[in-house]
Amino acid sequence: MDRGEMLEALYRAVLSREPEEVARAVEEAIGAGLDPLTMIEEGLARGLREVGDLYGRGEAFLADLIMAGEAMKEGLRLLEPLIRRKGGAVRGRVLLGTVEGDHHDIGKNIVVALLRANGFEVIDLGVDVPVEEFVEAVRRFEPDILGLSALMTTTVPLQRRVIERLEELGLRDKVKVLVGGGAVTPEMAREMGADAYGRDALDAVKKAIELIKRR
Amino acid sequence: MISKGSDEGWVPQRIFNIGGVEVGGRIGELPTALIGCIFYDRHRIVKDPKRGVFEREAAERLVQRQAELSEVTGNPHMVDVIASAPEAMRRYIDFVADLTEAPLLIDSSIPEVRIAGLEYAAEVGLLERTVYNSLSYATTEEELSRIREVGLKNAVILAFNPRYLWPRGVVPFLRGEKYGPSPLRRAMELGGLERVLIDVGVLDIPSIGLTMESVERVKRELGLPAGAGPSNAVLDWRQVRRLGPRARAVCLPGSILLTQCAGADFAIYGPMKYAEKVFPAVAMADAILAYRAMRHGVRPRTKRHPLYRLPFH
Repeated sequence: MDRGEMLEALYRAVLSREPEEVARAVEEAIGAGLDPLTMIEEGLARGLREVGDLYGRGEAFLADLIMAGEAMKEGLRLLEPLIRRKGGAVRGRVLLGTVEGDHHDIGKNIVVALLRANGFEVIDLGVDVPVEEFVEAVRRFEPDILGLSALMTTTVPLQRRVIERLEELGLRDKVKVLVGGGAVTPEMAREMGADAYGRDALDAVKKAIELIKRR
Repeated sequence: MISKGSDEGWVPQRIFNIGGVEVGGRIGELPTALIGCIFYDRHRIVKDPKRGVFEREAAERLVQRQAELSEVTGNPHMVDVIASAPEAMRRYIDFVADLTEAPLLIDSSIPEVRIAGLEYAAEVGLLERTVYNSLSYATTEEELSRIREVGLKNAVILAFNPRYLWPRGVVPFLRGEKYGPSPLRRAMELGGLERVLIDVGVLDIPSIGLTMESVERVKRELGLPAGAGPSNAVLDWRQVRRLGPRARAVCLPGSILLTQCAGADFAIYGPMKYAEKVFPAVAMADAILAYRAMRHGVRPRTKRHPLYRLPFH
């Protein structure tokens, strides 16, 4: 296989939504000495973008999106040790998680997959993340954007609390805050002082891109 | 598929008695157990979700209506009690246990609330008909050891595996062969649970296709009672309204019927106010499937079955 065919194989492996397919294609490409960043950008991420586009057009579905994201993750897991940290063509760094008391992660995981597919570096703190952990992570990772997800009305106040804590600690100006999740409305987002509101996963990515442009 | 218990490659089907309700078996042996939810997040009858203050009469009507429909159709019912604070959980359990003999599911997204409910159920002598809802890949050892200490035997096991959603992954996941620690093995080995209901999970409407295949695989290869809450996907389906004002009401039970065809033994059908939309359709499908199974030598194990209960003339 030449370089082009290998990149095509990486792309097709993500489209297959099978982590094992991706692992096989990545290992083969590593063996052939392909540049890891090229593998990600021209192979894996292209596949994930394609699934994202199909999803946007209603031709692929939620499970496809999640599984393509998982398949991509499997590839990244193998490639990350090979990538020297030199910045690369990263659009921006997003730190995100679901707020404390909320264990829902499906929506958040889609946002993570789509952000990665669109060239963002994503640090995913997972679910049920305490306020102080968000604040600490903002300090430590210095992200461009902080994403806060809440699916339950009872946990929306925790989104507000994170923003308040950032203000108290003088960190609020250092990061843009993007909120979303089933329980949040645009009005609530405005009222709690968020910089942007993502109606759904695709919208969240669009807003993240806009926030980066505005910086 | 229909005579699956005797089909080549199907393991014998387990039937568990949970607080007097038999769940499991081959298609046509037992009616689908229907589980309605009450006191969920944003449930209008809840006035104070921390203390557990609610409109008693409205709650009573919901539980009683579900019980009546269960009586009429023969489909056993259970009550999924959802709370977000320990005090509320205890009050809800008291209330529901007084009202019905049906099994109670203790449900919360917060582990401390589930444990508080479990300990309270043990204290007031309800363990036999208490079901823990639920244990998943993310359940901690601490939570499992608390369950073991209390001695509870019934639980819903969430077979949902975010690392691999395709149905062929579900049995290896439950066996602990792949994708990390098995929620089923941990529940049995660390939590001491014995009577398990496998909830294979649902993401959205199309994914109910995956749910169907996963139910079938769990039953065929593990022989355990399996099911899901497919109607939740219908409730999350905002655009269903574009199909007409009654579309949601029709699709709600429709989603469950498909999992019944795949062999589901139970369905968590969502807010209990939908009981009137769900019970008739599910009972009808159970009767149809049971009659079909009879042609293949499988008979209902009980006269309390929609095939005998529903008036067809």
